[in-house]
Amino acid sequence: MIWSELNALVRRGLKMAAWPCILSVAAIALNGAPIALAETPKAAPMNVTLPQSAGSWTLSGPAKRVEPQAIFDYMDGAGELYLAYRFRHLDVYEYKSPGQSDILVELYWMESADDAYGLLSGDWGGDAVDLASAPGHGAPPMARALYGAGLLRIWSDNLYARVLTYEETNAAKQAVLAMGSAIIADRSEAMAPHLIQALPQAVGTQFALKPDRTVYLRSHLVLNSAYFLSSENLLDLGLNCELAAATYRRNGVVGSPKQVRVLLVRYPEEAAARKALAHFQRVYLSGKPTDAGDSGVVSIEDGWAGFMLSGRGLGLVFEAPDETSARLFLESSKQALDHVEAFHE
Amino acid sequence: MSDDSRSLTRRDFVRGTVGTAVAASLLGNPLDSSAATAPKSYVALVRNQGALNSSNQVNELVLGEMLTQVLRSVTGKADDASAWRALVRSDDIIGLVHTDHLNRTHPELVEAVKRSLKLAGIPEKNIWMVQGSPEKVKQCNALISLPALKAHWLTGIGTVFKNYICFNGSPSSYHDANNAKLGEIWNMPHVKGKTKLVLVDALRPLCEKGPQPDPRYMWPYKGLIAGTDPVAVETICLKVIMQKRQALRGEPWPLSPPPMVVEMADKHYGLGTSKLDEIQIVRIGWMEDALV
Repeated sequence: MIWSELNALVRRGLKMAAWPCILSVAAIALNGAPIALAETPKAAPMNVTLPQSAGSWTLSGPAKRVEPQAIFDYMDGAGELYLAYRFRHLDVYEYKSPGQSDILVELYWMESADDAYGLLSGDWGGDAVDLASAPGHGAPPMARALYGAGLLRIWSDNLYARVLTYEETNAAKQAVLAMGSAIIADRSEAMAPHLIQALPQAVGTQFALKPDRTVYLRSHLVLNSAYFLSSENLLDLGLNCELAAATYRRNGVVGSPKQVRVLLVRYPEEAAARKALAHFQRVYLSGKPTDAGDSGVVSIEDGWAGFMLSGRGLGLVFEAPDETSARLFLESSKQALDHVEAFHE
Repeated sequence: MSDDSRSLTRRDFVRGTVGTAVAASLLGNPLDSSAATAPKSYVALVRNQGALNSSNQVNELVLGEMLTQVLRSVTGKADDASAWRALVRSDDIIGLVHTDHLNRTHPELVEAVKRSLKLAGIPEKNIWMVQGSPEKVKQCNALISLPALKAHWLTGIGTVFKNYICFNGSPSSYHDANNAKLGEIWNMPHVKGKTKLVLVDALRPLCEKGPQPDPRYMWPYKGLIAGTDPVAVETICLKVIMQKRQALRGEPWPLSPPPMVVEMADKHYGLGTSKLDEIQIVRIGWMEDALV
């Protein structure tokens, strides 16, 4: 299992710089020591060298450092998004050019590559940009950089970056992309979170994953932005959890907007997963039989919902068109969660 | 442990136990607004194609004309001075509440309002900028709210009610699910009854991922949306946002999380109506792609 996974990683175009991390993971795994999925095996550097100028834009001064406790002073109302992942600090740079709109560079340093990936995964819109001319820079959910209307967003290992010009011109776009290339230069690349990689591309013959609707998150605030379940933290999510939210479209159904939603959650331990399932059943399935144990499906207002507990993993299915489909999704969820778990045992 | 009985779930929206406007925004259903048969509230929508140039810079002359149209439409008065006198008294301390960062209110709009008030005979010393200062609000007799139209990743919409978040002195108390309670600020003693006009800057709104600016989701709507009923104004703003999202994707694009603040402001805090059949939109000017 481990070696086939490593082969798969190589096929996906892993850069050599990331090999020490992977090999250390493999070595620990072979020795049987548990590995927390969210941990970064090796701390990635938290600095980049930005150019003094790009096109006619010139760096206006040193970075403004924003620590977590001050993020609301910098962006009241938006700071929660970064704190919903494991945020370390933010460095802000400004580039100026006479007569042209400023270019803002924001470097969000995160605890792990998974956290930085999560920030990019919140919105796969824009055009995928290959800043490194390297493999692995494909479409969602494997894209590394996305550009649209003057905003470049980058996932680079434990860094999430936003480079923004308020007025998009050809010159401004070129400068933004040049800054993006400088940001990722000499940085190693991480793989997408295992939970994302484990999502099945298809479920049965009827359902296909919508890659651009795939979100990696840890917080119920982000979950509610991706797929609103409840005004409270129904799944007991937190920074020590991880969740992959996926959408599956039904093949060959004309005029039907119905899509099946899948949530795969991993908790730090089985007890937490079990407690979260009980919470979900008590609130969300209120009025429905909840004595189905660790796995079951129920018909609710918007289709069939299902739940499945497997170790410290929890799989949830929503809006399935029928009972058979719901059970099919539960089975694929279990396989995905067990696959991720096995990789770490 | 949380109080489960107070939780609102997706199922409540699907069942229809939550207000139409809010439920439609989450489920991606169209927000139908046939002409109000017995309107309780009026909302002015004024748009002008010349309000912004191709670089999204404001044409102040055009904006001034739009402000005049707003004032006359909201009050029914024939000139700006009469309109302001219908809203405020000449000896009022008037607090202007603009959005001061992250998709902020265009400064040109704030200046246009100041200029118009002064021309109406309001002394400059009585026109205060009060965003973020509950102490200043306490000293004001009248407030003019000047938010910018934007979606908000935490609250669904972050426009009218979000604009007063600092007025209770503890903005963080409205984080998470508590954002639904933002309407309560409007009923606090130092705020209640003081808002004489809600004038939304819809020149270049943001329909997704706010409040951080993302130009992919900003568009030159070139509009002002205004009224004296904050809930009705927010509801029309919500409709504009929803319609734009659907137009961008070509399919329903639900707003998540749902903007519960609108429902609460109507049903719980009694600040106005969110029922589209009770809101009369008065449309003035350029109406191509008006979305409402």
